[in-house]
Amino acid sequence: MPRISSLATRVVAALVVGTLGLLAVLAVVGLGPRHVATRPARGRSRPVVTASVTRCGDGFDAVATQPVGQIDVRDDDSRPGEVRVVAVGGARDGAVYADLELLAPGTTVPLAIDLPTGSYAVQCLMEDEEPVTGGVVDVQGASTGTRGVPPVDQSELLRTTLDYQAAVGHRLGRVRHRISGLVQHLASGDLPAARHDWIAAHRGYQLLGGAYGAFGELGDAIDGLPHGPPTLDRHPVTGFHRIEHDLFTARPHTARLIGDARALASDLAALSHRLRSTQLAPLDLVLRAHEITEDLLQRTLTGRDDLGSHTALATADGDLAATADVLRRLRPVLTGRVPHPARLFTDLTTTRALVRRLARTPDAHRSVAQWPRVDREQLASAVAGLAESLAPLAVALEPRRTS
Amino acid sequence: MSASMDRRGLFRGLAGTGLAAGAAGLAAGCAHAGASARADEPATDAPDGPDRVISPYGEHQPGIAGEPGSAVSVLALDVVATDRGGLAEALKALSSRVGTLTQGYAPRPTGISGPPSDSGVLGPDVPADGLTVTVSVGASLFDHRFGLAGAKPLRLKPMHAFADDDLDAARCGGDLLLQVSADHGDTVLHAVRDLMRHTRGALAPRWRIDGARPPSRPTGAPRNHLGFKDGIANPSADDFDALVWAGDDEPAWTAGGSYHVVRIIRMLTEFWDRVGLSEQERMIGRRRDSGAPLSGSTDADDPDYSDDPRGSVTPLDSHIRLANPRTDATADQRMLRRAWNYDAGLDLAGNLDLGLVFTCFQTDLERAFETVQHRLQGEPLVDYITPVGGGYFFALPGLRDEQDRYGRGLLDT
Ligand code: HEM
Repeated sequence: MPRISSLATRVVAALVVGTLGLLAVLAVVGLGPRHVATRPARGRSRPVVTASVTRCGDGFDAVATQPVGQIDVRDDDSRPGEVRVVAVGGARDGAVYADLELLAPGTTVPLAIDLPTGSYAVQCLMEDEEPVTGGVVDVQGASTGTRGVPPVDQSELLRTTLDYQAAVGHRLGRVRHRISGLVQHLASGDLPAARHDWIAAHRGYQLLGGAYGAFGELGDAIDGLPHGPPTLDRHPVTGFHRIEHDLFTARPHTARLIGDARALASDLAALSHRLRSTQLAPLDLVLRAHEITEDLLQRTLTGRDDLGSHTALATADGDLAATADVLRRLRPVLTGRVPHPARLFTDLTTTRALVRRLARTPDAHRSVAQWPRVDREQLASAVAGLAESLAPLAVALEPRRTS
Repeated sequence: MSASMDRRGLFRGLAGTGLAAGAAGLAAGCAHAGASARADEPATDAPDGPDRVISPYGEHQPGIAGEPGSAVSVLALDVVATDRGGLAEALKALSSRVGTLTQGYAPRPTGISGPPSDSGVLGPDVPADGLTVTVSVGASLFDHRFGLAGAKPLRLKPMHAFADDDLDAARCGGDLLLQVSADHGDTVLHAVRDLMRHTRGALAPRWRIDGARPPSRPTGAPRNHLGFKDGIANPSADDFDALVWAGDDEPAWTAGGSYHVVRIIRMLTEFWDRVGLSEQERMIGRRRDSGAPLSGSTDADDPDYSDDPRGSVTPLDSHIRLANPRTDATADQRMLRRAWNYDAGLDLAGNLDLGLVFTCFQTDLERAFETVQHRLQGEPLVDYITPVGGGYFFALPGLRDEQDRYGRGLLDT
């Protein structure tokens, strides 16, 4: 479930070049007009390259003269598999320049390539078999082309993911503590304190980075939004937003709120248990790098998740802090895989400073729709730019088979 | 003239022959040149003919004088960057993307370095498909932020509400305007997504309206939602220097540019459909079926008011007579109009939300658009139309070549 939604998001939000800072990269990346129509004209036959354990890369030598365009990859094996074009030797040894996954036996699938000058080979990773590398081909291409990326092995991220999971568990403890405070303040009728608890707990929950259903149905119960108007919604909202809806009104119904807060507390306890008993996949950590900001754009900066508390800026602050945390943890694997890692950190810092500046204005207590347009444009653009520049991480750092 | 030409002619490469009159001649010229430049590269055909390539390079932006595409998206944006360098980066990115998209290209594979560089909605090869992007600037760009106050085109200002308007602030103004047009709606939307993506973080989208130019029914200019042919009368290319392109008194950087007005005009079509035909024709000043002026027999006839001082044939308050009285005194008030129909669903009362994306280009905003709009105030047609948004912009000079960028002269000031 969570995977499907996050995949869909990745497709929709799939973006290469983003923030202002990265605009400058355009020319370097080679999207300029000089690269118009580099594909070989129609009619010229496409090289057919074999994928199999025994004849991996047969036919690949044709790219020596056609380094840009499409090759047809034919799975001649009895097994499904994955095929990559990798650099051989030199500074980028092992870097992946093209990748075709989910290749079924007997099928032929086109693969687009754009290889800069260098030496390359085809790598066949057939199911249940050791990777096989075909013959090396020297390509005299352009100096630019696809940027090769060394694959990240699952094992490189195991330690980081475990540490991250422990930190999330720790933060969850603090959220649960806040929610017990909420129950107490509701019981004693101290509504201002109860609202304060809610805001702190909700911001704290954002720090867990549970974007895009990372926590599955439990995450929905905790921080889900209404699915439509009450007349259409067969699964009325629970958790944070049900409490928000009833707490931030003039005369809240405390008895009902206490029940809702206890239900939230028990869902948080269940999440805590799950975090201790299951292991987070490294892919989840990598995806969070941009999915937290996607969530912020879609749920918070559109005003959709505001059921009365008008705390979009607190949510944004929590989301950006969570993104910064993920990014810091990924730092060791960023180098050589993302063009300007340092810029990501600067952009994130600038955006967080913007949130803090806005938090000192009346926007801190208003719904997003009530903000001055310029504030909305500034923040939405900064976050959207961030999402653009973070999106490549999910692809470049995705843990892949290397043996 | 321009609208009655057959676009199929362009596809067949017959452009330029017998079409010299009017804006069409220019459009045809561009298309022809572009097509032959790509003769050895027939990689990306449109579903209904060879690809139509309109070069983005030249003295003027080609979307102004050229034959309008059948689909348009008008997108207003605000500049988020807070200094001139940031604005320059955004304009550079736009220039580079427009250069690529308007010529058709094969997006480059990204391997595992990131998501695909292209949305894929036009397939693996992106056709040019008659794409033009007209980039214009609004008066707000010339405030304190970028130090451009001194470089503002003389007549550029925010659009105020006219007497018959009902403007929605959320659909007015903007620092920048992109008018993206092509032969198919998917090509327009593809370009819009691409341009937004490459300027994300630097340009904040403000409002957008999409429109379509339907095919001729059965001949001549396409019809608007009132059932009347629209775009029959327009100045001819010979008059563009006097009527369309920026004048000599403007800042030097504006040469080749034009004042660009956009009006989003709602049409109350249910109400209109309850009006008798002759009353409709009196309001417009033309026959509905043929498009002929009331003073003529076919839509090729020019309206003639010389023998009709009291409006016994063409009412004095008919739309076309008020808009262009065709006198020597009003000759310099003419403008180059480009309009598309929009369809935005329903309003609260269940009426269709239909209307016109009215755009026009002129040398002098006040002399042309504002004078005419004032003269149209209270015309009988106003009961059936309501302007709800839009703005005043200045269409930048054309890109000279691949190295050039939008606003070069402006930012160098
Ligand atoms: C929804 C709003 C409008 C509708 C339905 C409409 C409709 C029409 C129609 C049917 C024609 C005759 C066909 C043609 O010559 O192209 C026409 C002509 C014209 N309209 Fe409009 N129009 C609208 C708004 C405007 C506006 C806002 C202006 C400018 C302020 C304008 C200026 C003109 C001019 C200058 C002509 C050409 C008159 C001539 O040269 O004979 N129109 N319009």
